[in-house]
Amino acid sequence: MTFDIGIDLVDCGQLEEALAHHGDRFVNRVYTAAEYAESRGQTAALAGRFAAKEATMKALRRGDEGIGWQSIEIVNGPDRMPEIRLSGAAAELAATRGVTALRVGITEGRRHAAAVVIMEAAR
Amino acid sequence: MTNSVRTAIRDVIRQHGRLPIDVDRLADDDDLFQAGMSSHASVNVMLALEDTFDIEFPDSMLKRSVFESLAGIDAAVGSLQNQPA
Repeated sequence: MTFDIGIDLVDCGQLEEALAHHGDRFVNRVYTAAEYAESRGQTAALAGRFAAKEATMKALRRGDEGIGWQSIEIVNGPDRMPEIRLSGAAAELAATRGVTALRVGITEGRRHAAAVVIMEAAR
Repeated sequence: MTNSVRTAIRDVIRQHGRLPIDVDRLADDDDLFQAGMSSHASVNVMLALEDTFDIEFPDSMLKRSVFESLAGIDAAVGSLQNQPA
C-alpha cells in the first residue's frame, strides 16, 4: 500500500475576479451543478472546492493527462464532510494508479482557501 | 502560426496569467508555470483564449503541455482553429 498527498491554495480575491470576468462560463467549466448548489455561490466555498480539485490532481500524480475540472467533484457526504467523486479521465487515472481511497480536508478563510488530499493506493 | 496570433496570446497571458514578470521577457518555450502562473490563473487564460479566438478547449486538451508555454498554447489554438466547424 502506498500514499500520496496533494495540497493547493487559492486566493479568494482572484477567484472572485474570475467570476466577475467570466461569470457562468467559469462556473460551468469548473463546477458541477451539485458543487455550485452546495457552495451557494459563495466565493470562499467555491475557492475551497477549486483547491480540492487541484489537490486531488496532485495526489493522483497527474502527468500530462487531459482532465476537466468537473471530472473531480467535491460534494458533501452524509456526514456533511467533503468527499471526492471521480468520473471520466480522472477516474481512469485513479484506476491506473490503483487508488483505493481518497480523503480531502478543506479550510476556507476570507482571503484564501486551501485543501489537502490523501490518496491511498494498492500499489 | 502568424505573429498576430502570437501577439494575441501574449496579450491574454499578460491580462489573465498573473505572472510576476513581463510576458515579453519570456521565450516561446519558457515554462509559464515555472514563471509563476497558478493553476487557477490557467483557467482564466483558457477562458480568455476561447473568447479571443472563438474556440473551445475540450477536456482532453486541459493538460499541462498545452498551457505550460506560449508555443504549446499556439499549437493548441492552431489545431482548434483548423478543425472543421
